[in-house]
Amino acid sequence: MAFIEVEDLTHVYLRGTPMETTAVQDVTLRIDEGEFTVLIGPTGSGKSTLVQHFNALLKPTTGKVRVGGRDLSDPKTDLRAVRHQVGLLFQYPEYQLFEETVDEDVAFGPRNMGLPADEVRERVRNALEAVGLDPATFGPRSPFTLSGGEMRRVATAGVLAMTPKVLVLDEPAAGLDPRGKAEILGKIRSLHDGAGITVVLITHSMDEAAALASRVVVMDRGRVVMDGPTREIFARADELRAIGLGIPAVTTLVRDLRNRGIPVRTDVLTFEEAHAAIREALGWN
Amino acid sequence: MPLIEIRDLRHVYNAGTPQEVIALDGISLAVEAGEFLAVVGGNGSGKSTLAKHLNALLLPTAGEVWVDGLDTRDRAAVWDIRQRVGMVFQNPDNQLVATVVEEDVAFGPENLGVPAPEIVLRVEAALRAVDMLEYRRHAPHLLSGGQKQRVAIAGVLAMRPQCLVLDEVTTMLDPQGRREVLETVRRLNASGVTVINITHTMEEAALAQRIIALQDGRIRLEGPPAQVFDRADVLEAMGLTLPVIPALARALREDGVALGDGILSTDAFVDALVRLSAAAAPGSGA
Repeated sequence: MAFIEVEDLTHVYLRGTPMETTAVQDVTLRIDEGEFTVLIGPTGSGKSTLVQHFNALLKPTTGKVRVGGRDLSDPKTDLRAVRHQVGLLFQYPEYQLFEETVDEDVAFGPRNMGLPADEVRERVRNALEAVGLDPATFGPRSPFTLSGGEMRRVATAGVLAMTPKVLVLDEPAAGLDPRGKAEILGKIRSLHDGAGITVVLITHSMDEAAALASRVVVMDRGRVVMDGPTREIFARADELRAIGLGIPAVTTLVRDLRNRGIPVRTDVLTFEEAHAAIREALGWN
Repeated sequence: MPLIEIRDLRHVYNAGTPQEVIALDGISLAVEAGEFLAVVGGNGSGKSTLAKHLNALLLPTAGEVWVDGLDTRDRAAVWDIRQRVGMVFQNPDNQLVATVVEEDVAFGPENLGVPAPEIVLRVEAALRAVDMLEYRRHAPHLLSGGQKQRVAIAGVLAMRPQCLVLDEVTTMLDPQGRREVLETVRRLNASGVTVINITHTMEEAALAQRIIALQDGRIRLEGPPAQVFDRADVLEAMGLTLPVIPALARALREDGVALGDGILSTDAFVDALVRLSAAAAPGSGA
């Protein structure tokens, strides 16, 4: 069943001024419970604006957004409850850490939900474990003594401590080194695979999108221009390039090989698939 | 004489306090004029600290940094050094100061006291070099990320530097923006500008002539990309990974496919595999 339903959504910033910009235009989109959706699109295509409607941080200029069956534009809808269900992690969330200890920072959300102290403690511990940080070691430390990757994971734990059904992440791996990237993306994947959390992830990396998503939604100039299973979307290389995006490096490689007469399958998305496909083409399997 | 010479550089933040951090721990490095050098390393390896020593934004705790024969510890030389070595940073939105592109690019030479008629020429040349001349009268905040970074590079070029230091300049860009900026940098290097690109994107490091890899403030690996990527075990221990194309070439070599060493790019990979399969084909005249 669709958990997030967006219907004919249009969002206009600074309407009626010379700076008026239509950031999202006529978007209709359904996200089912348990899906792992990656949202790609050039800078300024409306990705961040769109996802901020998922927990009512932004209100539609026109159109409707429903979350868990609740109409967000209905004044009777409890938006706080929606925000507990849809956790949103912005770009560079480490800049939003502000408490003196990691424990306090992660506890901020659940405490604001009015939960009793022992439940808050329990949630903080679970959330830190979920992102791979040992609560005993990291809990008492100042967030500002951590590495970039660790800070990013603390910020993610802060959202997880609210036990959301949906996790929306805006470029969660940007600016991290390869190890930090692998760590945070691995944790997000295991939250989806293990805990069944619905994930919507924005990225500029086609390799990341290919490795993580079961579904890819492509935006360009405020509109959804493609939406489908990952493999089908990355088969449309020319259309993606035309809007300034691309395809994964290994997909480019096998397509180039095929153009030069090597009989290799081209529907590959990951390193392992490319490795197997080239071995197969060489008759090594 | 190298353009930049670093001798046994140490940098300690908050020395003598409980927060003391040794960011650079004995770096020696020479960068020749016209070189394209990539500096790689994990978060916290000392890359950005090293970058800030290259134009005297930081001064050595111990050791020396020389730029074109000028010592960064010599306070009288600071402006000459900064004119020779220009820096561009990660976030395009934090670097543009004016409301019109050409005024932004003129900011540096104006501060150097360059006469107005020459500023006009420099701004035009710099914007042309990054392929942004047609945007000269645009407002910077309405440009794409890649365009903003190219304007930031033009702002540095207008100071006629010998060396461009890029600190993670493509991190926040979309694929098109990355392609634009990297192509611009490659062209500038071909026209003689020394480039030092600080990055943890290994695909980007592969474009340089030489890579140095930092760990805990020391140089752990150094050499041409093919040679550095040959040490996948060491890179992994540093929190880095091989770019996907060399990694795939390596995996196939380990399978026994005679692809040959030093494959860095998609084109080189395709050429090698096509040659190999032509040689193996029946009736190929063997």
